Amino acid sequence: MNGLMELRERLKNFYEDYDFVIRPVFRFVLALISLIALNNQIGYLEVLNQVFVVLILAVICAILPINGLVLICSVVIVAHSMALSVETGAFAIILYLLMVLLYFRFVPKDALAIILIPVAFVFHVDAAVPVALGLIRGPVSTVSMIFGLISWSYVQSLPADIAPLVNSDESSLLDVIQAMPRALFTTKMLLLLIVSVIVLLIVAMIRKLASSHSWEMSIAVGSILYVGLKIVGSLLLGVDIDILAEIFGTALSVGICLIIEFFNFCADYTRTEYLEFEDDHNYYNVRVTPKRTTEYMESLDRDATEDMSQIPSDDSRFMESEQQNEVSRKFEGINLQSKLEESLKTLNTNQSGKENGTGDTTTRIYRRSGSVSHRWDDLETGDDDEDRNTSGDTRVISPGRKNLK
Amino acid sequence: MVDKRRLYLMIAMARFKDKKTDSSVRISNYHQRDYIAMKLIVNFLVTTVAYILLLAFYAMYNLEDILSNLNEMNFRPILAVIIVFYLVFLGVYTVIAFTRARIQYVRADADVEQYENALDRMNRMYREEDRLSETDDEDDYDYFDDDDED
Repeated sequence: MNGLMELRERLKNFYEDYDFVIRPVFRFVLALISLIALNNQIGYLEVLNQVFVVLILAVICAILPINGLVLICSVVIVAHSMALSVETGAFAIILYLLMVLLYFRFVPKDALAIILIPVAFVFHVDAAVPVALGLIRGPVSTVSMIFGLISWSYVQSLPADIAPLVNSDESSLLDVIQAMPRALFTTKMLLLLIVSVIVLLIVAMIRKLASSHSWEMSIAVGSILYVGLKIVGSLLLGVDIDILAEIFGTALSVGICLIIEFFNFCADYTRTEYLEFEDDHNYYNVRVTPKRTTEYMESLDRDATEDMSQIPSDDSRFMESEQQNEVSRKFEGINLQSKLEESLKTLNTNQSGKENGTGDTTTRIYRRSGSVSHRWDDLETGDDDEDRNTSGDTRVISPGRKNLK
Repeated sequence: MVDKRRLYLMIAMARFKDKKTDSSVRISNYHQRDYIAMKLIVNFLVTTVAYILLLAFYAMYNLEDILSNLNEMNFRPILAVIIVFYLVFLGVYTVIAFTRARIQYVRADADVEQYENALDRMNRMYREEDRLSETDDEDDYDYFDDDDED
């Protein structure tokens, strides 16, 4: 376990050091996987099936932000639909436009679900979708999951239901137009929608519980519930599903969710503390679960504390630093007020002497100093040996007055 | 010599400007009412388009029934239902858009205010440094104002 923790920290540090390379590479790989999965499922436009075109599109996705990937994959889906027939292309445009206008204009960050969920289904890890979303995003991702499932339903129905109708000589245009929205909401898809929503909400609820191992419990319960509800639902509604494939896919999804948990949440439950305290308004019952650490991580923390104490984080970026600035450091240990009073007295003395014609010169001598902190020491006013403080404190003397006593 | 505190403040401000110029600064250029009004107008147009697309989707779903009953249909109640649903649909999305625009504006305003405070602090640091360097410059000169010499 210690080795895994160290590996995790090393990966995290590697990511922090090289994120300007890793992010584009990650987007490139994700785009490549998505485009290949889509082309395998609905590859009606031959141009987009070419390897070089896929690579070029993946490179473009690597350069653009993550929503660029969503846009390009949506355009690919529409292009394949258009290649099948104009009606299917128009329907695809309406479908994705509706998704954007109804929901994703408010939450653009969740738009990735439109593409990632169909990809997860192509790789048969569909149980990972509600469980992972429930763990990471919580109940708010329900709508984006529903739209992602609708997107998958469309991608799946194109070769299964729509393409045979389009290519058939017996079906009319009206049959094709009516079949497209109906293919989205089959009994199987409705079952999948209901099961996914229930699993997501339950996983999110269990994860929020104040108990130990809540993440592991939510993954276990979510996965079992997903496969169980699907099997029971298919038996009740007469839907055909491959039970062995579902079980195997769910097991794979559990592995994926455990990896997600490892990188997102790593608590050491053996060192959990329960604290109770109160203030004037509330009673507090707090459970403190420290993160798992290794010697490597503790050494990183020590180094980070030494190096990073000066650099402001985003949260404290505009907060005043408690550190003294240079000016206050220069005057550290010097009582400026008493020095000012002294120099004013001296000024008055000199002024009155001058008025009385004592002949005191008003010589003002300024000497260049090597550093600001020594400028006061460099001032020579009369007998320097008497005035200079051998202890190192800087004596503030009013500039340019001779024979100060 | 570079003041470290000023340097870190400038780094934080540059980071803020890099991330948020498009959003926070652009939003705070508007008055709150104008910004929310603009968002509501955009919302009205977008929601109307979305509703028309939803109607088209529904029509496609029930195309056979609609076409077969087209002659017997009474359009007035259908139109009334469509309009009522449109108003409810628009009302819901207007509330969402209003709330979102308000929250966005308040956050952007707070961010820009923090940025301006940081700018003020930085200007104070520059003024203080100029003041200190002026005092240094006075030290730099050999300035004899000797009245006795002939």
